[in-house]
Amino acid sequence: MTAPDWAAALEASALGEWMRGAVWAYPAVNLLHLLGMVLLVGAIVLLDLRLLGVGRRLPLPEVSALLTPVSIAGLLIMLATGPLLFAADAGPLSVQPLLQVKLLWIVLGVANALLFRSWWGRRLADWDDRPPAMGRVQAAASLVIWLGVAAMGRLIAYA
Amino acid sequence: MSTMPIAFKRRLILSLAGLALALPVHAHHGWSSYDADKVITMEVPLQAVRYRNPHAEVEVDYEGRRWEVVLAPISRMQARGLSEEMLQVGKTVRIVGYPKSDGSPELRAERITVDGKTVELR
Repeated sequence: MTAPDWAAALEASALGEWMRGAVWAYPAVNLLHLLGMVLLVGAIVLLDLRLLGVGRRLPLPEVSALLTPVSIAGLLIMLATGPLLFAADAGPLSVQPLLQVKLLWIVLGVANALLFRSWWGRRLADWDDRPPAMGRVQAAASLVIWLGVAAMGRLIAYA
Repeated sequence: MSTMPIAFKRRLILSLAGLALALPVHAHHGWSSYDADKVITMEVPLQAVRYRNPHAEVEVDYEGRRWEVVLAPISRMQARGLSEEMLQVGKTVRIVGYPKSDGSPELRAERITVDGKTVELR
């Protein structure tokens, strides 16, 4: 499979050149990408577990108020740094199936989170008394999706 | 809430973790990686050099095939005294490394000798 023109152009761009050629650019951006992953996946896994009933002594609205911003910050860091890592090898990565599946899963994960917020965001206070089945399915799906995204991200290096 | 018994909850969490780890991988040179039992030593001129991150690569012709040789990240090579200027196309170097297990002409270099100087790459 040959890379599309836009990917070849990105790889040949000054940005791609810099990501490959500067001694510390790639490791530094990689480190930030990992930091984003730790914040995003760490926070979202804890929140999902709480939604599934783990740690019920902690009030859900407060757990959510603490962890949701952390996970959003992590996601934003990942969205800022991911394209930089991509630029270094845009050609081959643009046709890498594992990356394509990972991007699809990110879209699913974000859509799942947005739908969760709009459906259940105002019902967290009485969640433990009447947990909606759909909401719990979404929490379980979120766990699988984000752990899967993290695993795929790491495995791209070996694919 | 609910009603999920602890044992079930525990099983649910474990199986979710298991799922995440069991994702299929479509590797393009094979997941197999490198065969450390098969050490290859080649003394060959460099055909192409990409001094870059996340790791440098050189290409060489060895036993009738064009090999891709994976070196190391720029910072490590610089710290060990292997500069970009030392890796010139046409220069003959000595490379010791492991080939891909799947038989494709790709080598993970353990060390490289350039201008009489041996640099460990792992």
